[in-house]
Amino acid sequence: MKTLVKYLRPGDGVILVLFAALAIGSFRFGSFVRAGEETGARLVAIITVNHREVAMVALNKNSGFNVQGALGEITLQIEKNSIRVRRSTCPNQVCVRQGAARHSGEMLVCVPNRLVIWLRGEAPPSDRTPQESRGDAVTH
Amino acid sequence: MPSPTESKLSPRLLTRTALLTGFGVVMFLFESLLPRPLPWAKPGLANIATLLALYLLGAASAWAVTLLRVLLGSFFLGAFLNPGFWLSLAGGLAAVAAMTLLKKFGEKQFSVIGISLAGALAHVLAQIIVAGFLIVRRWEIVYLLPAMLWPALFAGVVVGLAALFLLERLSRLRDGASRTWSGKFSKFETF
Repeated sequence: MKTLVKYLRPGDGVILVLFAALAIGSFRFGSFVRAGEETGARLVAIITVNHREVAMVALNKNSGFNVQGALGEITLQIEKNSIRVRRSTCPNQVCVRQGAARHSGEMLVCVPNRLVIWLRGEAPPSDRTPQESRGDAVTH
Repeated sequence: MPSPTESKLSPRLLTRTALLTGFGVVMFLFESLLPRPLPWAKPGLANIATLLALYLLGAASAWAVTLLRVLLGSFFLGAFLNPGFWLSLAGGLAAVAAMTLLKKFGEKQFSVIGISLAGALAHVLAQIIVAGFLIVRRWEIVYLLPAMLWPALFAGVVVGLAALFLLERLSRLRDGASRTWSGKFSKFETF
């Protein structure tokens, strides 16, 4: 230990403190595991493939469905106000092992399939088409 | 011992750079086989090779070792031009840029450990920026920062220590002061 200390320079401490401050400060953004506080039936999952939005689903109804990724089919499952990747065609299966996302701001990512799913906290869209719901907003 | 300012591409510099590149590639492949809790959290052992090159052979070698390691590593993993390849390339280049600059302008103020930490920090920041543009295109990528910075902080220290011990050993070899190696290898020029 004593021999180690003789190699250290003041700048090492500076950069260590800077690094640690950034690492601590980054918790302000929330951790990846619990990105936001909001959970529950009001969450909406926005599903994008190749940066294009392919679907937007409310998490308040349990369902299972497929989306077409860059490599092949990805099976998603919605249950108990959470969404997870059930099956994927990617080699590493990182997305499957990520488990369920249930907090607003949380993301599920499958890099090989170019799939990004992120959760937004808001009232689930109704089953009506956009036109109808706009009409609703006017008449109410 | 070639001086870091050696201008000509001598066979000695070339072979030593190649040797460290090989070491970097092996480390890179080894750590990509290790199980890891988070898909991006690799210890960055390959950076030991870059650090050794930077200290023993100079900045040009450090850049060569890093670039070649990223290229060769991706060939071996079959990941050339994959999203992962761009992430590695961005991280590697940012790390080597940060380390060469810091060593050039702050050699007296920073030890290998500080330089290694700077490399780790640059690596994380470059990767998160590239991942943000290339993969998710959402600012929510910053949620990943704590999960990337903490492992990188520890990895940076460990890699710095490893490089420090290796440099110390190698300089003892050079000075012929090592009891265990000098007899056997005194004929050979070492780093």
